[in-house]
Amino acid sequence: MVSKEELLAMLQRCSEEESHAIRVYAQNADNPLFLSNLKSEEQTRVKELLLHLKRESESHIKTYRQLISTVEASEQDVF
Amino acid sequence: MFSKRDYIQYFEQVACLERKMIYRVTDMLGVVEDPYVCGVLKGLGADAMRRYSLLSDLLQSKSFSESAADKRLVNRRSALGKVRLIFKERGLFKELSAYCVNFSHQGLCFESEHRVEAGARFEVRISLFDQCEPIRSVGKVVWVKEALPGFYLAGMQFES
Repeated sequence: MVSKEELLAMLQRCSEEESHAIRVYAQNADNPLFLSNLKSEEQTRVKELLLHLKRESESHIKTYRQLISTVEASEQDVF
Repeated sequence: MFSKRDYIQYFEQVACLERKMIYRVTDMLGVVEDPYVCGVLKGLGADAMRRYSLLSDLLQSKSFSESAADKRLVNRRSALGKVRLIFKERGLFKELSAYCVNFSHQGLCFESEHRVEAGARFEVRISLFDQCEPIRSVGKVVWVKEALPGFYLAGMQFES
């Protein structure tokens, strides 16, 4: 069992880490030199993977925010 | 210009971020009992495991692997889990919590928010996420590096 306050702090931390991950996934997206040493098909594979990770993290942030709202609105003190 | 080493460092950082997500969700699942919250967290945890698997495959692909390092890692089993680092200080047993990244019969790679020193000796108890029986050993830390700010990756060599 965990208190509402502790759970909210943990969920908030996860949401912040997903936000940080998005910045890391996107940090080289606009740099034409990034991946230029790789073969064309490998570049495509890597770019698609980073884009996929970024989109999923955006979706995860929404999930965490919804969960935070649900927990905040709940009358339970422990979860 | 980006070198192969730059790519590897960048994707190792990304992989470390994903592992951190897995640890956070697993830690929450260890204490939360509410079925609705557990259900949502299990979905997020499964996503994080799948994403980490994609990154591991990329890092092991021909374009990203480093031959010398790969030889050393041949017998390492990539396995995530919890690690308890037990040590004695002024006659009292103390412990630090860490997470297993991979291990072999010779050693262990772990990461933690606690910075351990190279040369430090610990009794280790490894509880893998996909295995019930804990693994016990004793080892010495041989290298440490900061993988992410405030998050340290370390290599340990087993003595037994």
